[in-house]
Amino acid sequence: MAVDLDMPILIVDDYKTMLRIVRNLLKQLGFNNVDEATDGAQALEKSRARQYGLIISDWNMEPMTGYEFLKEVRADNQLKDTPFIMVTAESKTDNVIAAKKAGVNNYIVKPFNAATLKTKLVAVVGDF
Amino acid sequence: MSSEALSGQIGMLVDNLRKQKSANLSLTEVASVTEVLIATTQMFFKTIDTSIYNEFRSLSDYITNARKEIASLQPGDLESERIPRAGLELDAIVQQTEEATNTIMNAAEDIMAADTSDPDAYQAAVNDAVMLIFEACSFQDITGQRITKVVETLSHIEQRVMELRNLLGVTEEDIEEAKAEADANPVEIDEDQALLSGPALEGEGIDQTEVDALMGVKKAPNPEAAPVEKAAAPVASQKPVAKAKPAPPPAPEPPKPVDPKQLDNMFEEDFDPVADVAAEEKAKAEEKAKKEKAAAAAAKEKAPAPKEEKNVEMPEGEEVSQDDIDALFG
Repeated sequence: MAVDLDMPILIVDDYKTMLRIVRNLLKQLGFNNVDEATDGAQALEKSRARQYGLIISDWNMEPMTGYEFLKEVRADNQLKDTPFIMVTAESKTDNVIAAKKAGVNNYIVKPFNAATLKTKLVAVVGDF
Repeated sequence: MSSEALSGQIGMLVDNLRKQKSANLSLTEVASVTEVLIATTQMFFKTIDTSIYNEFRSLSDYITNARKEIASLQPGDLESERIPRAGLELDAIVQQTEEATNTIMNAAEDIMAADTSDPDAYQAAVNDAVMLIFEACSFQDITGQRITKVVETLSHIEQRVMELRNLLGVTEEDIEEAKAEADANPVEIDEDQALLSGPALEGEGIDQTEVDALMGVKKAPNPEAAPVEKAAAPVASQKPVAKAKPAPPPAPEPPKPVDPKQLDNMFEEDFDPVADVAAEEKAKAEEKAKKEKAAAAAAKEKAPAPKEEKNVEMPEGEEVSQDDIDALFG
């Protein structure tokens, strides 16, 4: 089933530049309904206020990390099924395994390119 | 008993003996004087032994404690882990910023060289190049994280040095004394080296206006010259002249009158008249290369997979590649 390009997507990163990059890459891929948050706590608040079709989050943020945010999302009955992609520079095996155990749908290592992002989006939300 | 008391005691005994006539001294008297002498010196040496022993004991305890505390500072950790790691992070920053800059410049050149005759193809070429620029800009995030790690290492070292300072009982007075001594005997630095202060922080150094003032250049009368001056500012303004802050006014006796326009021209990028010809030839060659590059880029477009691998490889230590992660996620 084709993905609705208007679905709301939440991108979370403490670097404004990174938010801008991901937003622009998503725009290039056809997704225009994109919201931003700069840490896990803010992202959690936003995701409780609005139902997102996808969350793309960094790991290393303060005060709430992307990993903690992921666990909060998976522990929340209303949010637990939201597709979640981790986009991070944390590339150790332990990180990936921990994220997978916590219920992440996919994991992208920074730096990444548009092709990688698209592949992961297709893998998580379906073709578009 | 102190050494003064001992010598007083012995002096008294000797005086006592002198007062009596030595020829009439009985053996018992000599023996008793000798006994007093022995007892007195024994007391003295006993006192000496104890004080020396206590001194050494306290010194030994101090050294033992210092060793323990220095060990607890884990200098080995700094030497074998943190400092080399910080060095690697800084190397990686240099490398990644260079790669990102090259990628961005290549993409910009591709846009400049794109054929505008076919609007659709042009749009596609521009989009591709812009995507590459976006991707390359992610270096800011990565380098930011690396720099944070280096700063953490520096803070760790600072903390350890402070602890070591406290441990060794270095006081502010000692520091002032050492500083005064260093000021009195400055280490000789090569003049050229002394000029290299590196990039200035915001608020440090001087701006282009001040540079111009120092150089004795009046404001460019030609409005066209203004953008050039502005463009040159970030490069020429700050860094190497940062230490020249207490700028003295221009020398009162200029040896020769200088034409401000001529000076302005010297700071323009295309000042070298000989280089102009070479630059034209270079531009033509670059244009040709760009066209070839554009053709190559079009071919690359159809094969994005290798690019992906190149961008995500992180094979060091326990780090895993995107491929490994993909395998994990099926």
